Amino acid sequence: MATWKTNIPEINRVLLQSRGPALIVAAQILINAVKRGLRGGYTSGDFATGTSVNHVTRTDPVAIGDEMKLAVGTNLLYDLMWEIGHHNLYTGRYERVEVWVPALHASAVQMKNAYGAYIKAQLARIRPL
Amino acid sequence: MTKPLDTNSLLGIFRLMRDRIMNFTPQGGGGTIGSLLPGGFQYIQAADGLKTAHAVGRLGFRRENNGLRLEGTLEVQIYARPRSKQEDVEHIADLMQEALLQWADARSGVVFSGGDVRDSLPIFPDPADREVAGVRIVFDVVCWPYYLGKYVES
Repeated sequence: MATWKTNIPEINRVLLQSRGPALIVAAQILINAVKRGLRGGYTSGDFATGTSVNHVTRTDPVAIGDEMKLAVGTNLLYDLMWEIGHHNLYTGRYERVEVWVPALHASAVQMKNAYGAYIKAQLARIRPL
Repeated sequence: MTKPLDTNSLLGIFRLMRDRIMNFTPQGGGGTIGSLLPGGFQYIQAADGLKTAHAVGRLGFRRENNGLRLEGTLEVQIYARPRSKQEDVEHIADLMQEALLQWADARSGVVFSGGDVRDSLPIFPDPADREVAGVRIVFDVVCWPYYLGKYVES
């Protein structure tokens, strides 16, 4: 008599456990892209100190309901004001230099691929029945 | 779609939404939003050295549905100086949200707006002008524009 076997519970376990690390792998791609964009500063580069680059960071993955989420960002208001625009006292102009959102758009496909590749690698480690 | 009016270009879509906002009079009366923004509502870049209350807007879309449907955002930033004008700026932001509440325009293509995300801007550090008060609203926008739809007209 044939016996039904399944490793679906193991697959589910690996999928759930892999989401967090996979998000971290994807996030690192974005972090690297943002850092490259910030490296030269926002204007001539003469005033770039490396502070913005050193403050690019991420949260830990957090489970919210059925979803796992992670945020990439900075605690520097300076970066926010350049990203969304500000009235500049020295130039007298409205200034805006976007780095974060263009980095996200440019990295989106690579991030998705990296996320998927990590999950796939973890699933490949499950012993076949 | 047979009316090549406002949605015959991306800039046309922006003008359509800007006109809606600037000409809007709230329920209960009072002036239009345009009367509260003497510096105007500019596209992408605010004028240099602007001191009066003004808004800056920008559209961003991705195309879907065989390339005929635009889904994206209208980002609006409202500014005034000095910082004591923060309440005025918040009031203008309230009115803008009212103007686009359940708004849809089908005179040229179809444009409509659903939700939005709104933030009062913090005091930014040097070299930003600390005396500028600001609010940022990002409106969700969906559009079936004429400039794309005309290619599938029978």
